[in-house]
Amino acid sequence: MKRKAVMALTVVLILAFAVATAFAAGNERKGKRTWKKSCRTACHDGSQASNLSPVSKTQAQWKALFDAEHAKIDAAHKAKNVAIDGLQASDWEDMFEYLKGHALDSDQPETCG
Amino acid sequence: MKLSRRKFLAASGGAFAAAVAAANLTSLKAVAESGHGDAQTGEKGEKHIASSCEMCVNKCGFYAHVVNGRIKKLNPNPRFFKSRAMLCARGNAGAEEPYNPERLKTPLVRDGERGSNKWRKISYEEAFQIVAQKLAEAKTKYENRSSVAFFSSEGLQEGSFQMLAQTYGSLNTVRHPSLCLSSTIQGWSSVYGVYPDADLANAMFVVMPGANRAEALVTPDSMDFLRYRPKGQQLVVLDPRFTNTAAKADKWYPVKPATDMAFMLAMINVIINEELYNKDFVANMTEGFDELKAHVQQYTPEWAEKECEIPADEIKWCAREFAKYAPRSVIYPGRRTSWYVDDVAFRRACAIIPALCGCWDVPGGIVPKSGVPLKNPDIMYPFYDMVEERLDVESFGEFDNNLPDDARKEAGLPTDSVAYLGEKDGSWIRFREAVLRGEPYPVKMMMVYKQNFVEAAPNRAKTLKMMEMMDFICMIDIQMSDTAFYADLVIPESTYLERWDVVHSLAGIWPIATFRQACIEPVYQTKSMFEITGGIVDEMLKIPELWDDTDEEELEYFKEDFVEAILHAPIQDYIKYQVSGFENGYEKLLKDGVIYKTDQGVYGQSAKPGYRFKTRSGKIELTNVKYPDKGLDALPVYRRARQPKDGQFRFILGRHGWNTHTGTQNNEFLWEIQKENTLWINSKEALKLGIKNGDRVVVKSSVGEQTVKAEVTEKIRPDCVFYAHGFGRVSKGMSLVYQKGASQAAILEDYIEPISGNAAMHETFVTVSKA
Ligand code: HEM
Ligand code: SF4
Repeated sequence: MKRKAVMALTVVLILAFAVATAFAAGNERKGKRTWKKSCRTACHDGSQASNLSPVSKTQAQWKALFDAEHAKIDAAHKAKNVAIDGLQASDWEDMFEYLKGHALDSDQPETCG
Repeated sequence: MKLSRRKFLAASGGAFAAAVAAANLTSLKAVAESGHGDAQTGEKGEKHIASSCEMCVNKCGFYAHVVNGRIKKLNPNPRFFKSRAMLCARGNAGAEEPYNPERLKTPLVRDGERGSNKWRKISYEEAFQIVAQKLAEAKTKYENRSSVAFFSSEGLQEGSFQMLAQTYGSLNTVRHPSLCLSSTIQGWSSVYGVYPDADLANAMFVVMPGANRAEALVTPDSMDFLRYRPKGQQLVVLDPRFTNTAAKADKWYPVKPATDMAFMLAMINVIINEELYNKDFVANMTEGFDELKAHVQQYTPEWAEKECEIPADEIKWCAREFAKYAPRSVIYPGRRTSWYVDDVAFRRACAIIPALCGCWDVPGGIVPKSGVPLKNPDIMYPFYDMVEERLDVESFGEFDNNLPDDARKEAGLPTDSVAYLGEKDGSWIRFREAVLRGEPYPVKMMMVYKQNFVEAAPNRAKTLKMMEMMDFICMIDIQMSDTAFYADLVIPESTYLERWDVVHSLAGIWPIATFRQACIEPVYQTKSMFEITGGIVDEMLKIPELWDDTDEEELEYFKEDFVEAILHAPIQDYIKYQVSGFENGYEKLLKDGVIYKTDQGVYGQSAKPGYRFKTRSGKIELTNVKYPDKGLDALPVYRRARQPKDGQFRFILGRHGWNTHTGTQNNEFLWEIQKENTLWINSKEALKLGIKNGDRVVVKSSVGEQTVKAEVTEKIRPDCVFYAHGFGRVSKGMSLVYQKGASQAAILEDYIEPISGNAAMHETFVTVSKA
C-alpha cells in the first residue's frame, strides 16, 4: 500500500511505475496464456497428467517448483519421459507470476456467482 | 479438456438433437403485443417443465405448469432441497415476467438525446452489427481493449457475457460484489481462507448482526431459521431497525449503527478471559491466539456498552451462551455487507468468535461451502497486444479513497487504493472514480449485462456523469432499467422462463446444481445472452481490424474450438458436457431440474488437524499473517466512527421479501404489495420535526435529495432513518415506479471500504424536513 507521501508523484511517474511492475518479474496475463496452452490444456487438465491449476499449490510450493530454473518441474517430467520444448526463460517467469498470483493462499479474493 | 469441435461433440453426445430442434421451432412463435393478453404460440396441451427461478440470486427450483404454451403457475420443485422445496412470493410472481407489458421486446437504438426515451426499433442482426462496429472503433481509436468496460451481474447467463468480454479482450470487467458482499468475503476469508456458510438448520445459538434473513431471503438459511430451526434454537439479532427477523428473534438489540464491532470484540474478551474457548481447537487449528488475547483486553463489556448501547450484562450473556452451545453456535456471516468503511475489520471480529469456540465444519457451526463437480471447458481466447491492466488496480492509485473524517481515516485503512481487489469483480466505486478522471487511460464504451448501476451504485449524479463521458453504451436486459434508459442501444434478453441456461453448482452446506430449460417459447422472439454473444462474435469476425493484434494461428484455433464448437452449437451441448461426469446427467437434469451427489449436508472436510487452510499460514488466523505486509491491522482494531450531529440522521439500507434489488418493482404482481417506499423515522424525532405519518418529507444528503412519504414508527432508532431500495426510478420504461417514492442511489454518498473495495453505504448522513 502506498501511503500519502508517495501519492505526490506525478501521473507520468506512476504510469511508468505501473508498467514497470507489470513487466519486471513477469507478465501474469501472458503467463496465464502460456500455462493454459502449453501445460493445462495440453495435459494437465486431468487427461494426460494430473489435474493441475494455480490453486493446486501454495505460493511457497510454486516457488519451490520454479526455483533453480524450474529444476523440480523438469525432474518430474523427466521421470515420466515428458519433454517440454519451446519455452523461453521469460515464459517460465510469466507462468510463475500467474501461478503464484492465483495460488491456494494468494491474495485473490473469492467471488460470488 | 481441450475442446476441439470433434471432442466436444463426442463428449456431449448427439442423442438430444431432436429435442433441441423441436424447442427451436420458429413456426410456433407468435407475438402478443397486448401485454397480459394471450401470447398464443399455437402450442396445445399441458406440461410441467423443471427449471429454476431468476427473481433473485437463489435460483430455487420449480416446475412450470404450462397450458397451451402459456405459463399457468410455477410450483416448487420437491427435489430442490437447497430451498427446502420453497418458492417465495417473488418466485411465484415470476410467472408474470414473460407477459409484462413493459418488458423489452425488440432491440432499440437511441433516436434522440440520451435519456429522452426516444427509440427506434431494429433487428437483432442490426444490433449485433452496431455492437461489433463500435467495439472495432474503440479498439482502433484507443488502441487499448480495456477502454471498453464490461459490467455484469451474477446469473446463469453471466458466463455468456463474460465470453464476449474475453473475446474482445478487455480486462475491465466490473461485477456486482463490490456493491454487495465483498467485505464479508474478505473479512471471513482473512480468518478461514474462505467465505463460509452458517448452518442454521442445526445451530442452537445464532447471533445475526444486521442480516435480515426473514426478508432478504437466502436459501436455505431463511427457511431453516423460520421453519426448520431445531427445538430450543436461540436467535439474537443486532439491528437498528426492528425488522421481521428481529420480530422472530429471542432477543433484539437495537445496536447503535457503526458500533457492532465493539459488541463482537467484547464477546471475544469474555470468551477468552473467562476461558470459555475450546483449548484443543485453538491449539491445533489456529494461529495468533496470544496476540488476540493481549489485543482484546482493552475491549471489556463495560467499554463496549458505552460504544454500542447494548448492556454489558447482555454481551456477557451472549458470550457465555455462545460458548455453552458450541460447536453448535454461529455468528452469521451475512451477505450485503456494504455498510461501513471498516467493514472487513468488523467481519474479522465476527469470524474470530466461532473459531475460538471450535464451531467449525460441524453440524450447527460455521461450515465451508462445498460444490457439485461439473465440467467446464477451458476456452482459449486470443491473446491480444492492445490491452492495458485493469483501471482500478493498486499500481494506478493516485487519488484519495473516500473515507469519512474520523479515527478510521487516521490509521489502519488504505487511503489510496484497494488492498485486495478481485481481478474479475473490480471495485465499483473506485472504478467509476478512475473513469471520471480519465486516468491512467480513457474508458469510453460500456457493455452492460443486467447490472442496473444507475440505481444500484451510490451517488447517482456521479454515475450519470460517467455515462455522459461514454462514446457508446450498450445494455442487455429484460426490461428498460434505469441504466438501459440512458444507453444508446438496448438489446432484450429472453426472460428466464423462455431460455436455456448452463448448469451452475450452487455451493453451500447442501450443494446442488441447477440449470434452466425453456418452459415456453420466447413470447417476443427474444434471444438468450448465449445467442446474443454468438451473434455479436460472428459480426466481430467480419471486421479484420478487430483481430490484427493477435496471432493468426491462434485465432484459427479460437474459431474452431470456441466459435464453432461452442457458440455455434446448441447450448444444450454445453449443458451435456457440463454434466457428462454424471450417469444420465443430462436426462436427469431435464426431468428433475437438479443434479447432486448427495442430499445430505457436507461437513468435516476441513475440521481435521493438519488440514491446510487457504490462509497464508495454512491455519485459521486469529491474527492475520499477510495483512501487515500491506500496512493493515492484523487484528480487528476498533476505531470510533463519526456519528450524526443534531438534526442529522444516519441513512441505513435494507430489503423486503417481495422485491429483489431494483429488478422486480415493475412486476405487476409484486407492485400490488408495495407501490412506493416510505421513510421510516422514529416517532420521537418525527414529533420534534412536526412530521406526521404520511406527510411528505425531503431527505437530503451532500449529494442529493429525495421526497418521500414518512412512516412514523417505533421500529427504528432515533439516530437513523431508512427507506427501501428500488423506488424513485428515473426510467420511464418502468412506469409503475417511475418517480414513485424515493431513490437510494440519489442520496447515498460514495464511501469505500478500501480493503475489499466494497461500497460503504451506511456512512451517509441526511437531514429530514417537511416537504
Ligand atoms: C510448462 C508446462 C507445464 C508445467 C508448468 C507443468 C508442471 C508440472 C508439475 C508442477 C508437476 C508436478 C506435479 C506435482 O508435484 O503435483 C508435473 C508433473 C507431470 N507433468 Fe507437467 N507441466 C507442464 C506440462 C506438461 C505436459 C505438456 C505434459 C504432457 C505431455 C505433462 C505431463 C506431466 C506428467 C505425466 C507429470 C507427472 C505425474 C502427474 O503429476 O501427473 N506436463 N507437471
Ligand atoms: S428466494 Fe424466491 S425469488 Fe429467490 S430464487 Fe427462490 S423463489 Fe425465486
